[in-house]
Amino acid sequence: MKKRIIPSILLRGGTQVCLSQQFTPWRTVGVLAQNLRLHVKRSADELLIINLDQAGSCNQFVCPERVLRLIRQDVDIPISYAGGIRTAADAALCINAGFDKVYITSAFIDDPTALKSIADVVGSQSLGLIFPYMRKDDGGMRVWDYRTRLFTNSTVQLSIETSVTLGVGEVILYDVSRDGTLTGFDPLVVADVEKCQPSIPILLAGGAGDADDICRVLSSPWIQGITASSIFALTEATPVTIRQRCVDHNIPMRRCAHLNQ
Amino acid sequence: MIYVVNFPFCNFFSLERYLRVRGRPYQILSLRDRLSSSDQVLLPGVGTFGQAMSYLRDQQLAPLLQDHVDQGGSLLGICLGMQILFEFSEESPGISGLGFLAGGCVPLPTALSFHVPHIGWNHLVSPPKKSSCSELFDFLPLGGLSRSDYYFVHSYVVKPSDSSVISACFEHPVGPLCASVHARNISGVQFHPEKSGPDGYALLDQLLDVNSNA
Repeated sequence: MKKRIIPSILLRGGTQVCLSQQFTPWRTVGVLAQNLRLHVKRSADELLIINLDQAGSCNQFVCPERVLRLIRQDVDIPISYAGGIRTAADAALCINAGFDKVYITSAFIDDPTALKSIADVVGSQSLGLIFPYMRKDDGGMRVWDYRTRLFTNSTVQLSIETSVTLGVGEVILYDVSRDGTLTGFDPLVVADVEKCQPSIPILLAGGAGDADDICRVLSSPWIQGITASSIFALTEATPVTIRQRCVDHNIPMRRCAHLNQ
Repeated sequence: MIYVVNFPFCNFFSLERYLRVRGRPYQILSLRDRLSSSDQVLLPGVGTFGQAMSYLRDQQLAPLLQDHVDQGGSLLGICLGMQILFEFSEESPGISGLGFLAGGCVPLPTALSFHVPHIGWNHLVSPPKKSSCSELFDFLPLGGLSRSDYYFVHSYVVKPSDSSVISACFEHPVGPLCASVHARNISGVQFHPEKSGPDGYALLDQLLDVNSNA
């Protein structure tokens, strides 16, 4: 299996792209059209759009038409959506509209069993979970509710096990305390994931500062990819340069014949 | 003319983008269409085997596809679209597939170095007992690997009764598993060339051109 480099695009105010720090929107760095074209051109393995306008909202879910138009115009690689999806109908709307996968957070925190009906409709391979987490004083990883900005009662390990039984196909572990800091990934997270031995792909987010940070986590057979945004906006790293560094460390990465021509 | 079956839960817009960018005229397949043997039908698909077959039955498209294949018209299935070319899938017990090819779909085995669903980029390898020369896949002479990687996202894998229809495989700890099939005027790919960037678009060009010459 090849490891994946996935730029995440945080949207607010329609199609404005912003960066976040510790799950708080921080600064606007461009617009969606420009970001999509840049990431596709730089040979990203996938893209993840996180729509902050809808995240955590209890309003009727609406698949943003302007976003869809740009994706259909510019994207020839897999693209996922997160933000405001709570039901199977919401998820189906996104998949039918052109997204390949949807990611859920708050619906799982509120009622984990809701995931089963979503997985039954769109299939496990099209359903992912994003677990924002922080470490408690005892070092344990707890799922963190970004709406209340408080810990939930669930450990990340137990939540991963639950999500697998409910039919989730992939999990992103998002370290809130390192989000937007460029200081490297949680140094304990790989060991914690290895203890769980999950059967589904696990991706990491929060803290990627340079290619070496990414190599360190992707060298584990239990981590299938990383997602990041600040590193692509604030440093010179691109998916191509990161991939090359990983290959130098014997990490299996996607090969693109068109880049060698 | 290219006809596309527009399943619910399908990757239609990704395929539509490919056809638009490449300037290939297409239509959504409907019951009213009279297909000729020079037409090509694309079966995309995301979701479950049962959902896809239920859609084809409800829309009464299965007999239309059968006639098209019988007349020598070409058919290309992508991902779930390839799986329904076969007779059954353990994903949806009791539901028959189109049955154009013998065999069925079984769950992908899980392994330490192979997580399921199989999500991400992977290379292809030439099928066992076949030469690395392929009309479609440019396998490297050394090791028999494809020059490019393609995007996979699936939990079930096709197991044809006749292994000679397998045109490419992906590697798995239990051995090579079917990544694409080709038999007469029927072909299928388990991965998503329409989601695999410029290399995937180039492969789709070849798939459609080979089929139109079949």
